[in-house]
Formats: sequence, structure tokens, C-alpha cells
Amino acid sequence: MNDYVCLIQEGQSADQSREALAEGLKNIGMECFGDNPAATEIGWVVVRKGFGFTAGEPSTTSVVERSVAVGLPQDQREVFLKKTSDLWQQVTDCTGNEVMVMAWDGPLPIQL
Amino acid sequence: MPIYRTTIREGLSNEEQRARIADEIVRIHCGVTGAPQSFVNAYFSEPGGPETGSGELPEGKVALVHATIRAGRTDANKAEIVSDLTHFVAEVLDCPAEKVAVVTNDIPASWCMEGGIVLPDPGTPEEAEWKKRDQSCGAPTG
Repeated sequence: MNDYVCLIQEGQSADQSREALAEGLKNIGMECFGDNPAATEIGWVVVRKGFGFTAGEPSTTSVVERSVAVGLPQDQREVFLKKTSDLWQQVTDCTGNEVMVMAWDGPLPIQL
Repeated sequence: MPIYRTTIREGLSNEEQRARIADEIVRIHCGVTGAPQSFVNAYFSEPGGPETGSGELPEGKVALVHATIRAGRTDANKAEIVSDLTHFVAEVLDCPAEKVAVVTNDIPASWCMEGGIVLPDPGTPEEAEWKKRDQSCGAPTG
């Protein structure tokens, strides 16, 4: 089961930066939740051209989802959300509006 | 937020049809919830495709729409979204409405970050303030 599921747009910056993003996510998981980076699994959903829209226009948005412990304190959740949003912006040069991060209590509702 | 993930049977939709559905998702979602359009996401996939993220189609269905929206919308709001979208997708795909499934899944706003901020709950003073502040580039939706 994936620890993270990342939805990205085919051929865009995040798609071309998967290795750096994966490394960053593993580090964030270790810092925030004590994850073992070597055991962290990341799934990628690559949205084909013509299959992704934001506000009715071709999408440039990435969505990063992660399962966290049920009842995780909000301050810890916000640190994770912020670190992940910052990572995406630094690696892909996207804006904050182009990355959505979600930290779900318990299993992700949609798995790959 | 919101994110509408739609799985359509392979070969049943083209880009023009998907764009029409994406536009209608924006219209329906924003019309029902009063949310601005900026962050309404619509992603499509086909069963078994490399990008599949919304699972396989339920038996007897040709399209499944899975909407992740902020918790706090009323049951009536969600029922309206489901009904309107079901009928529109069926119309675009030229199939009976019974062949289309639409489900919603709530996520607490505080579990999400978009635009670099933790999203406010729908209908709160914090949301109203955020909408006012961010009208030019979009406020949290979903």
C-alpha cells in the first residue's frame, strides 16, 4: 500500500521531477512521522494530456495525498502540509495554487 | 479542492466530451455551493490505464465520478451535485443515467492545503474572509 499518492500532469514539471520529489517526500515523512525512507512507497497517477482540467482549462495542478495516524494533532498535520507544498514549489517551480496537499486520517480513500 | 475524478469506459469519451464534462462540473459545483471556480479540478481516466487513480468501474456502469469535497456541505447540496452531474455525464456519453455513478467523499478542510494555506471550513467567517482577500486569484472551493 502506498504511503503517498501523487497525481501529476503528463509531461509537466512534476512528471519530469519525480525522482527529486520522491526523495523530498521520503525525507518529509522521516522528519514528520519517523518513516523509514527506504520503506516508503509512493504511487504516481499521471494524468494524460486532454484528461486533466482545472476551472475548465487544461490543468497544471498536482495533488499529493498521504495517510497519517488517526487523530494526528493539527499542528503536526500543518507542518507536514506546509513542508510538502514548499517541496513541490521548490522542485517544480509551480505556484502554491498549483499544488494541493491532503493528509488523510487512516487509509487513503482511493488507492492505486 | 474540490477534486472530481472520473473513470470512463475505455474509448467512450473524447477530449471534447471530457472538456464539456469538466466545464459542467465547474458550473454545477460552483452553482450549488457558491464556491469560486479557480480550484475546481476534474481529472479523467480509463480503467486499467497507466493513470488510473479512481479504481475500476462498478459492474454495469460506464462512468464513475468520485468527488472529493470539503466536509460541511449539506446533504441536499451533495444530492443536487450527484443528480445534476449524473444526468449531464449520461447526456454527454449518450447513455442511460443508470449507467453513471457519482459519489462524494468529504474531507475536513483542515486536512488540506492549497494556495499555501490550510483551507477554511465552508460557510465560516474564515472562508468569507479568504474569499474576499483572494477574489482575484481564487478562493478555496470544494
